[in-house]
Amino acid sequence: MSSHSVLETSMLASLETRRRAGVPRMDADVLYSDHAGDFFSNDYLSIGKLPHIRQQFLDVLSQKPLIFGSTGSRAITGSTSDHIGLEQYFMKQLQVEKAMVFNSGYLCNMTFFGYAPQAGDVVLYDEFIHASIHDGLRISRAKEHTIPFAHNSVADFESKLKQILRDYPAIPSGLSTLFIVIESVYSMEGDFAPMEEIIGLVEKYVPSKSAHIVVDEAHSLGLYGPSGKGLLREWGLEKRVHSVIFTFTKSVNFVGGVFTTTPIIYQYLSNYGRSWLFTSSLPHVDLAAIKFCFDVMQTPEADQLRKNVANMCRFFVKYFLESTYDIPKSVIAILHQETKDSNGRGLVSPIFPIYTPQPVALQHHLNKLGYAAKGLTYPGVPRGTERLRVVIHGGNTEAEIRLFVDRLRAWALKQVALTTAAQSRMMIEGTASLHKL
Amino acid sequence: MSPLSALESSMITSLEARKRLGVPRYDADIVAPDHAGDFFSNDYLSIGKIPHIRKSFVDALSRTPFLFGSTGSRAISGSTSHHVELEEYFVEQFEAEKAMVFNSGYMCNLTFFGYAPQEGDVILYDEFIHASIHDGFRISRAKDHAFAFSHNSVPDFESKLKQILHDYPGIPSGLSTLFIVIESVYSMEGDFSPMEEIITLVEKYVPSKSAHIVVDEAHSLGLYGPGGKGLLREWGLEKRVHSVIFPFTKAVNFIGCVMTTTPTIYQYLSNYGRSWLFTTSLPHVDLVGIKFCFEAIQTQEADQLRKNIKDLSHFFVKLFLESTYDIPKDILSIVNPESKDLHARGLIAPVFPIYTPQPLALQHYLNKLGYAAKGLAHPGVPKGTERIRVVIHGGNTDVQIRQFVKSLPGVGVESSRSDYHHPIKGDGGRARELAQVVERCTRPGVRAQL
Repeated sequence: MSSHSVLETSMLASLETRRRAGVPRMDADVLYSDHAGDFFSNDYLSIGKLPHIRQQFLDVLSQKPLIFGSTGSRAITGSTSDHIGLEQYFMKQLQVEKAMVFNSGYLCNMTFFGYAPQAGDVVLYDEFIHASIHDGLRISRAKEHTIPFAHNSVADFESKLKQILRDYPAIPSGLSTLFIVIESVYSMEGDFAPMEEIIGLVEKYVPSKSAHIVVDEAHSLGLYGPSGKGLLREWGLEKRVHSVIFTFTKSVNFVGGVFTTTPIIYQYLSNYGRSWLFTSSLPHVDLAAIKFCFDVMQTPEADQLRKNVANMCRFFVKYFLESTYDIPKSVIAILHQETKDSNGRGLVSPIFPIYTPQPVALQHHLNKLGYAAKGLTYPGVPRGTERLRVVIHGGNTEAEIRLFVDRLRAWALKQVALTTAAQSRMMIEGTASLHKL
Repeated sequence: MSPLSALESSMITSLEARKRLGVPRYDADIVAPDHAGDFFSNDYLSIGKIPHIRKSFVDALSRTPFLFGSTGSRAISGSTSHHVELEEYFVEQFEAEKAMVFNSGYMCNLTFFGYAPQEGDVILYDEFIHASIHDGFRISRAKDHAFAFSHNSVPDFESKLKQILHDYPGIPSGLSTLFIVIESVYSMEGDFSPMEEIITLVEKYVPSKSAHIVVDEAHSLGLYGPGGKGLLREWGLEKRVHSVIFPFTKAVNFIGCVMTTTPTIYQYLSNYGRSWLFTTSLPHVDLVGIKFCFEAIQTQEADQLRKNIKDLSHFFVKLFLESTYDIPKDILSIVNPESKDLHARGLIAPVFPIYTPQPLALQHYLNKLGYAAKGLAHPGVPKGTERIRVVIHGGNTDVQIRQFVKSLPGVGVESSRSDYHHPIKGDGGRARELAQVVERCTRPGVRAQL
């Protein structure tokens, strides 16, 4: 196809528009080295770095008679005793009525939010919930009745809640459901949801048969709670919510997700959820790995990694603030600690957005040094909050962190020098428009 | 939550409504027995039966430094050298411009059909394409401009094609794209698409810069073509289509999918495809598994398994027809081989719908004998075409097949053929036997799994 098809011409035009608007292109086929240290992956605990873990997993696998594909969806021939066994394992581990294993958090969110809401139901969600939840809501029967509340704002949540109860009388009368959707820890800011306050308000205002609280624990599983079982269990809130999503693709360092809910919801979704019905189930090797990784997450070694994460986070913040006190916050800044961990009750999350107006320039600078950084701008994040999303892991060392922060400082100083020089030049040349960095 | 919530009440009502309509319920938490032999999975080649294959895979894994998760999406930190290399591997294997590896065929179809169509584009698809493709259409910009043509009907395709060119002048003038969507072999009927005729009509009527033919090879990868590389390559048609979808969840017996397409489309989808951007990429062990299984389908043992499938499929059809010639076709029948393999050019697909008005009764009957049968009814299949979907595999034996056919209700009855009378007349050995079986299975008290 030497000359472009009309399809490609249109696609290239869209990509070009983004480029001109300064939106970074995502190159899935370009590799970013991270030999200088992992400061960007979601492998929060660095569990793969535990000695012997590779061999242990291979030993487990060699005992399994089945390791290949299931070759069917869970509706047809892809529900084997291994699949059901894994769900029963999670029911015991999490002490829940029912557990539904999905191939991914994305498919879990698409299935639950796409198919659970009934006609007449309403959804009240934190404005920063994950894109996959939006993709589910968009195809659901509640798609015209989804209302965001200001991120983590208990006051706005209460106000929107009361408004919904007024506008949708079927909810206070127990005929329809109000879904309340939050994440325990948010992916882009690394801040905590005021979970107990939100739950308290739901219990106060919404009849229990109409309330359905859903919590996505993607960024808290493995980091908090007894044996890493999440933030709800850290704070003893798990019996006060209805459905919980646990993805295995961050601390647990594998693939897939489990959704804890009621037997009726499980049955309904396994009959009506198209994104469940029409996809093949996980291969046997993955089922073995999920259980293996979930067990590893609960070991004393993992407890130690959780401690490391907390210590390294505190070290990173301290060293970053010390190293950048003299650099304008408009050049480089982290989220104010009080804000970030305001609902954390003393806990700290390992996600640190580093705000800078030049995230792509910082990305390239870091890439050259061997960091797999990615600059994030609109539309990935709101305008004015351009950033790099730094993550501190169980396996990061103080030496690595020091070097990383020193390099951030070096880049920031260069930016300051450039700004000063540019400003001086402009004052001398009398340019009217102050060109923002 | 001891009293039912409003949500659960509503859900139970829906499930009850389906039950009353006779729609089969899916129980994902119940294991169906298959000790009597696999006649239902999509493990077409029975590749797991290649000697030492389990051990070879574990050995391959032990040589791989990374086994666990990628912990990021392909947009952020989940594009490792292994992910990129696997795509380069497929570029070589298929001699394609670009290859995009997805976590599943479902995600591939959702991403391509959800995000590739541009404003003003139109889609013409075979009415029997997979549900995942429909899920993609529904979120795309072409959702109100997607048209079905009658299953495998070349005349209806031509007619709809001409209508579209007439109604959407942007296409003949080379301003918009017409996507043509077919499958090489269809999942539920096991019949072949008249691919070359369709391709030729597209080449005849649609300006090449406006045409985009997409073929889903889910049920042909591993079964046909050099090294099992699919039906397009079996018939030398691969250069005349634009994007091809190869899921690894049937003959290849693993997980995931690769789509061959152009570099521009790859770049666009990896920037605009939400179902690509917002999901974590495959774990390393799966990347190894995909490559391992894809190589396995190209071995001589796999060639032998392909040959077995062909022989056993023919054997099954012959045996089934012989054993059921005197059973009314409205009780139990398979698709007339002439129509099933109409466009197959001598090939045979190992998928055999067995039509019966009582698919659940037949399912329960077979389950009791140790067959993992599933009765399929509306809305899974069109009304009037209720069935169970039988599959013949590379690892089935003729003994197993004989036993299976004999197990079918009404077959293998000791009464001689001369006892048979047409069921309308009431009497008759086989028809009566079958009716009795059906009645037994649908009596209340028998596991009423509707």
